Amino acid sequence: MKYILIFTLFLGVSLTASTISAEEKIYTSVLHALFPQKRQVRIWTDDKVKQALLKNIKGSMLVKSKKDADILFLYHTSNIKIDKPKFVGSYALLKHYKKDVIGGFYWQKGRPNLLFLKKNLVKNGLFVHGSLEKYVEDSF
Amino acid sequence: MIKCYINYYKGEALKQILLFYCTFFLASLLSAQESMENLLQQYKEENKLSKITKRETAGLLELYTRDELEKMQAHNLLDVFKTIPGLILTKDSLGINSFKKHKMNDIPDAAARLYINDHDMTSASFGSAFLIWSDMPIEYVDHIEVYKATSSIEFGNEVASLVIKVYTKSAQREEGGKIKLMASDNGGYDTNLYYGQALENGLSYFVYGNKDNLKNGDYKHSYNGNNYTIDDSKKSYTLFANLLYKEWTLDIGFYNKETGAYTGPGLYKTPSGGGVQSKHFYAHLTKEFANEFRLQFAYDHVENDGRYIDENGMLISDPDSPTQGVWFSNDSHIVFKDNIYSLILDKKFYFQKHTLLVGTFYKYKQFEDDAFIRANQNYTLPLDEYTKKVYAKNSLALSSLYLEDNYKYDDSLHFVFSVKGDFYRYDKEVKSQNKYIARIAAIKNIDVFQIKAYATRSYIPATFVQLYNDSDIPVKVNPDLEYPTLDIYSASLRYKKERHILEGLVTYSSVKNSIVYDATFGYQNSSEQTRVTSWELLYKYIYNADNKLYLNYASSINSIDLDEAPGYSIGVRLFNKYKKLDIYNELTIRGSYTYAGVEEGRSYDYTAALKYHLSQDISIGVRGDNIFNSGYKQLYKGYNEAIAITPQRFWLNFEALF
Repeated sequence: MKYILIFTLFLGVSLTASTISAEEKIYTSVLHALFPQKRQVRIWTDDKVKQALLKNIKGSMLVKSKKDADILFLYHTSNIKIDKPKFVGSYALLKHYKKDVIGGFYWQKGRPNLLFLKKNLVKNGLFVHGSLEKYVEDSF
Repeated sequence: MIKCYINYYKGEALKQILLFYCTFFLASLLSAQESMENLLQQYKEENKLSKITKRETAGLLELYTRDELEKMQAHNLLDVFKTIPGLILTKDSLGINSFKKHKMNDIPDAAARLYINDHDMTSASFGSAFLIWSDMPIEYVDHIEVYKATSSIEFGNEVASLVIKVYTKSAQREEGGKIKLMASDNGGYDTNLYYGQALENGLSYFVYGNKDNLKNGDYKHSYNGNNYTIDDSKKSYTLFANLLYKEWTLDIGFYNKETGAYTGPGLYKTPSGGGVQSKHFYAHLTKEFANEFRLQFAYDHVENDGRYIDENGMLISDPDSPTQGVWFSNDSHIVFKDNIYSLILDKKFYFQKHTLLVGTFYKYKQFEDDAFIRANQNYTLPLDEYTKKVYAKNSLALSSLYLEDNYKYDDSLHFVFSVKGDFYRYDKEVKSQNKYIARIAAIKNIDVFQIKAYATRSYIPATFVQLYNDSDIPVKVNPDLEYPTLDIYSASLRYKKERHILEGLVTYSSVKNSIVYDATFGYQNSSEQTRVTSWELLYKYIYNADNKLYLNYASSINSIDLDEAPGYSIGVRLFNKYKKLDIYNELTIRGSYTYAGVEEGRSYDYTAALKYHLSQDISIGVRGDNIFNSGYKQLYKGYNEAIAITPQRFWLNFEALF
């Protein structure tokens, strides 16, 4: 047993924990990858809880009208016709908007997934920059 | 061949295990880096379903997350139960799984309850269907919460001091399926398939099926020159479906299993046949209203068909016999059938500093006992064979009212006050009982410390098996039994800083009027009060979600000088990830003990699992249970060799997500 105790004491190293949630960091990375040049990205979302999270992201601004938005973050609504880049928060919406959705951050197979769809990005005149390029797929 | 090699080196087991731990843990420290992959992993960790469901105030909580269950390659509940600190997983002579506290005998069946989501796996015959579901497959399970020293009021159902809450995977998070195939070195298998999907119309569904055959192995027993086989086999199939539409949730489950007769209840543990077939079907419908009002309906049908054959005799109760009301049976076939209907209502009220839960439930439990008893000798030899057919039917209307006030005094201190009244009304003969539960819990956070204290006055309900049958054959029941009173006081102190968690727990419990059995006198309340003081010391080092070390030490003392189980346990669990390899190591050491005049030495159960991820969706793995075959063994009266509760076994595992 003494080996276990010595081993345990040996592992007394730690790092400072970040107070920013992983979700906020992920959305920050997504916005920076899609709009690297924009100083302020205008966002519209249909989820009140996500509003609080998205407005915290540096360089983002929530707008009330879909028309004023650079990107729509959709979690519930399946009848949006407006021609704006759509980024979804569920697999069901990803399938629903598969013809024009640019990507999604959603649960599938018991794990969170990040995905960008190449042809819809092109259709919206967008590219994914930096380390997130590997999350760009032709289909899902 | 492999087993021989392993046994040869059994003496070196502990050293090898420690070396194993150090090597892999250090290797894994090198692998962490900040990237989107790490962020996704961090997000998964921050949004675990267990964070939503766990209730710190409900009791001393032991949590098994999905990630941990997957790394353990745990495939049934027993793989989890054998690692719970402070409890010893065992089996009784009929092969029924149960728990012991250190030095103590088995915890009563009715004191442990199992929930699958919000459904209480209830039974009329046994009080709780824990004894049927305790080895259920868990591939469809997201996480498991074990609440020790609880009163169960927060769960709004029947009383228990040990509550195991099993939560299934959700369709919204799966959006796909999984196949998992396992095969063991002794010819056993375990197959699992599930699929979940959220549809655009708002309906989501999750379906699951399992079929297994564990072939736990046979043990031989010689008596009077004859050989007998102790059959520890288990095969089962399980079906489960969850439907979710807006505020409606429907769970449907079915478990069908066949188990060997194990040692059987014979005087000399010489079984020559028999076995148990158990079936449980349930449906549970929940409607959540917008104002935190919840309505639940449930139906359960349970059948337990047990047959025990022993040519050297099983002691039974028989009031007609000339030998003090006991006789010897050679063939007992007993079928219990239960139908249970439940209605549960609860509502939460929110005030500035108070959250009030008010609830009520009504359960109607029908019990049916159909038994056929045969012996190869009558009361006066050499007359014909003795045969008795016994039939009994009764029902219980159980209604309950409960109230819980969660009072947040300030940001660092809150209290929970709970009261509950349970009212038992039987259809025939058994006396009515009104029982009350009261509980107070306090949780105080001071910087890196958390102090928890609980005081509970509760009880353990008697079951139909103990209370009622028409003839007192094969057991002598007692319709006037008092329900044992249970007092539990527990306290814990936790230190949590950065990656380190250190926690000490002390529990004092006292049981009055405990129920004891004797074939001549039947079920009786004991006048002896049993007091048990148990303590645990836990340490967790969480380097990151993939690399964790858990240590625990547990022990207890009792007031009646009982010494029927190990006096202490030490547990070590280590989770690691190295590149595409998941590594799990588990070591449980339990002290020696003596039972029925036989001594069983200290045990070391070393279990390990390795899983290699061929891709994000496909993995292969191996798991070794009780690798050195030196794990905990249970002694039984009439059989001089102890039987391993977890047999030595090696599994190959293939998993594919689609």
